[in-house]
Amino acid sequence: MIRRVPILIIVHILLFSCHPRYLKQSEKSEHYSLKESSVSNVLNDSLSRYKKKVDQETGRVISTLSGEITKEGNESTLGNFVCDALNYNKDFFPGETVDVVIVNRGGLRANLPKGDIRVINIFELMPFENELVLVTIKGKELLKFVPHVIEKKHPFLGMKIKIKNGQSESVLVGDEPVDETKNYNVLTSDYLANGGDSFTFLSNPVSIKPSGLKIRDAIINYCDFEKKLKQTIDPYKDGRLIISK
Amino acid sequence: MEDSLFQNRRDFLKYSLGVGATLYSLGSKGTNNLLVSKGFTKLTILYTNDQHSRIEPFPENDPKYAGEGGFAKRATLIEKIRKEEENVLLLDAGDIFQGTPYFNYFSGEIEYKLMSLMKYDAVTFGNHDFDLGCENIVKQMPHASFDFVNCNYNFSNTALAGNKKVFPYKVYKKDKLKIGVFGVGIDLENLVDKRYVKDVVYNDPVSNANKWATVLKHDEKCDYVICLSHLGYKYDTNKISDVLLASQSKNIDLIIGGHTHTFLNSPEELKNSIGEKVVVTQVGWAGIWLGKIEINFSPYNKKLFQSNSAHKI
Repeated sequence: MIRRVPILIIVHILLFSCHPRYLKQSEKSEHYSLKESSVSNVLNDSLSRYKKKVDQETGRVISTLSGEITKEGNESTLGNFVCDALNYNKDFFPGETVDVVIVNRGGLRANLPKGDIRVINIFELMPFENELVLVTIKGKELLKFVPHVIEKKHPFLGMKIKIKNGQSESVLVGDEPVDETKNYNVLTSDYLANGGDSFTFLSNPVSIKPSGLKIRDAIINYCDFEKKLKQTIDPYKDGRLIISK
Repeated sequence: MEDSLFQNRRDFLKYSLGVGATLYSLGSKGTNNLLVSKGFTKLTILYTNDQHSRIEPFPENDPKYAGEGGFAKRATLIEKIRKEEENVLLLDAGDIFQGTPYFNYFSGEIEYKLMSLMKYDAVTFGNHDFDLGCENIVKQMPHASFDFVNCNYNFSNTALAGNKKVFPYKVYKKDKLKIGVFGVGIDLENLVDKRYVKDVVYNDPVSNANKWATVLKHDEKCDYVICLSHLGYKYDTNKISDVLLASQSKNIDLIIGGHTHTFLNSPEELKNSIGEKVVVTQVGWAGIWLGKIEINFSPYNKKLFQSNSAHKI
């Protein structure tokens, strides 16, 4: 036992002194050049055929953003952007009006940087193959969306929701309180309409209409349109969701 | 926290301090040889989770991860480590698919091909790996030279039924060591479009994990048992997670997790249901980090020394 005491001290000194070396090792790993290794060459060779196609199809600039659009906050600029983009495509349902647009926050997979936006950015934002649908539900069902908003801050358009102390204080569609017996047209994805992300209030609708349009393509349509108008897209929030204590 | 690269090196001295202080200067090849000459066997576990089809690094205008990640860079690093280390195991904890157009255009073919070139040993299924259904996994499997492990999904009524690349567990022999690897997956309900996974039956991950871990430890006599998990690190609710699984487990040494995209600053050491050590780790997502855990086994196959680091890619 007596012999072990000094060893213990040495052990501690050495243990401590190891940290800088490990730090250095990993800093170095950031600077590996792709050309350093034969493996990465093989990898890049085998990737090039695919890369060419993807780059061609996704490199096109479709819009310009005046600022970064992100998922941050209760109401997010990204959520508002996607809702606007879906709403722009409502003509895919001729003769119908859209009361509300609903998206799930978890389904938005990437923020958008300031400046030029390419098709690739929209792929990263919306990688899924989900399609745009119009679901008609009763006001009673629509109100069941509110607890989901409280829990996960899902993006929406066409409603104003005030939450106080974790409870719903007011829920308006347009400027009117929700009528439990009235039909509301909800523009959303088929994934959510099938009850995805626990959105079961959408899964027994009065009616559901498909569009055949992918959500991703719907967003690309919107960006293309804004570009045609030579307009930059501005990030914004308008206070549609207010959460207070 | 997400942006900080963990550089914590955790060292566990399992039994005798008398073995000597030289153990602590591990890492350079010379001292490693010294250990090897004393009969120690070193295992290097490399791992990723939630790669999400991030084949190329994040674009330079990405607000958060500009230039980070990328399969080619990772391959370079792995190749370097393989040159230095004898016994390397390369694993992934699921969600290989979905997240860049490479998946939308080629349905996972490239991911599997490139991971095969990197010589992955085993992966488990994440929810997004089912995004185009079991049929698509089967279709892409010819491009994969690695094993798929999962013990809590029943695929009997799916395209994966009887598949020859899917196992509840696999045992990998590395020098004198036997390493058992098995996988557990998350409840797919509400995570994957029902049309794609309605026939995949989800069974309890805890009881199945314990069942197969016991088989690996006692029947297969594995020196070390690794669980590849796509349950998620931990939740505010009582939903099953890696942390809960760890506390209810037996015979698991290491849980490599995924799903919650958690950048764990260092692997977490927890106690299992009988008070033994179990380590939980996860390295974020998109191949931004490559996790590395090194363990030296004594000639008597007792774990002696463990260290970890994450390499930013």
